[in-house]
Amino acid sequence: MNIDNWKTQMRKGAAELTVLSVLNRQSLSGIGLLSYLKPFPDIGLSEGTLYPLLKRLERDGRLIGEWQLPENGGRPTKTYTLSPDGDAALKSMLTVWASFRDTLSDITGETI
Amino acid sequence: MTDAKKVETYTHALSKALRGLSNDELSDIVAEIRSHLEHRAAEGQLDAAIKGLGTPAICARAFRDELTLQDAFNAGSPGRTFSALITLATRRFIAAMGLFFASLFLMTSIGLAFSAVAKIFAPNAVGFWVDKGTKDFMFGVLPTAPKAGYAEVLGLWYVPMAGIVAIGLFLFGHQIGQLFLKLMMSRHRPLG
Repeated sequence: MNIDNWKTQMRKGAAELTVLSVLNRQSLSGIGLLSYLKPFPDIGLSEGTLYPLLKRLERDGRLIGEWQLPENGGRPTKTYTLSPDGDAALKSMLTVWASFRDTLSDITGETI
Repeated sequence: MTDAKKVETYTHALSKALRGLSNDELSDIVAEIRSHLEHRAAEGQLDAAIKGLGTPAICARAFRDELTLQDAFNAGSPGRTFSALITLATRRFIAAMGLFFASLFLMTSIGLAFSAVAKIFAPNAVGFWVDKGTKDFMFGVLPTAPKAGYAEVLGLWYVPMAGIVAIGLFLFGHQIGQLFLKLMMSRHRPLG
């Protein structure tokens, strides 16, 4: 059975929740987020999808993006922080996610 | 080609592909992608980074799609909603479906609005007819007189009633369009 399409669909909906959750723990740049998520390849966020998503979340007011120069010099990096709106959105999304996960577990009987 | 030249070439092409966005938006996007590529180049991963972003045209399209969807959804106007669906319909199946359903209601509402106006100028050719016996009905603009047994039941009330239904269908079509925009915003299409 080809399960790739189903996995892709599942990842699509999880991208925003993933980004908000990580940035809730710490402020990071796009590169930083990609490094953070590298051990979690199942999330499936790549450069090509992450940056447009960050841009949209910033324009939506859920993230605050700030250009920063490293103290020891080097190239400027844009760092993202969760805004109060982003924090509220994350809390709502986590509530829905927890309910969805519990419902799905009940239905599937967690037969993994 | 050196890494610095590759970065320059990529960001220049990206900048061209993003033309039309505001200067602030464009320079912010290009600066961030440049920063990403320079960071990866320092790690010796530039080619992989460029592959991950896709060609400048694909990368620009990903940004444009996100911003088009967001602007249309936030503006909330029917014009922006239909415009975004039309823009995205050629390359996203969900947008094509949204455009189909939204257009269905839009066209029906335009037809009804037209018939409401036509009723004023040609009252006998426009109306809502019901067959007293079978209760079958028909409405709209008829090119010929209705079959025997059918009676027009609304008279000039057809005008406001068709108008109200037309507005309702138009608003419903707009909501359908917004629903599809929201669906697309929550789903990130992988590149490639």
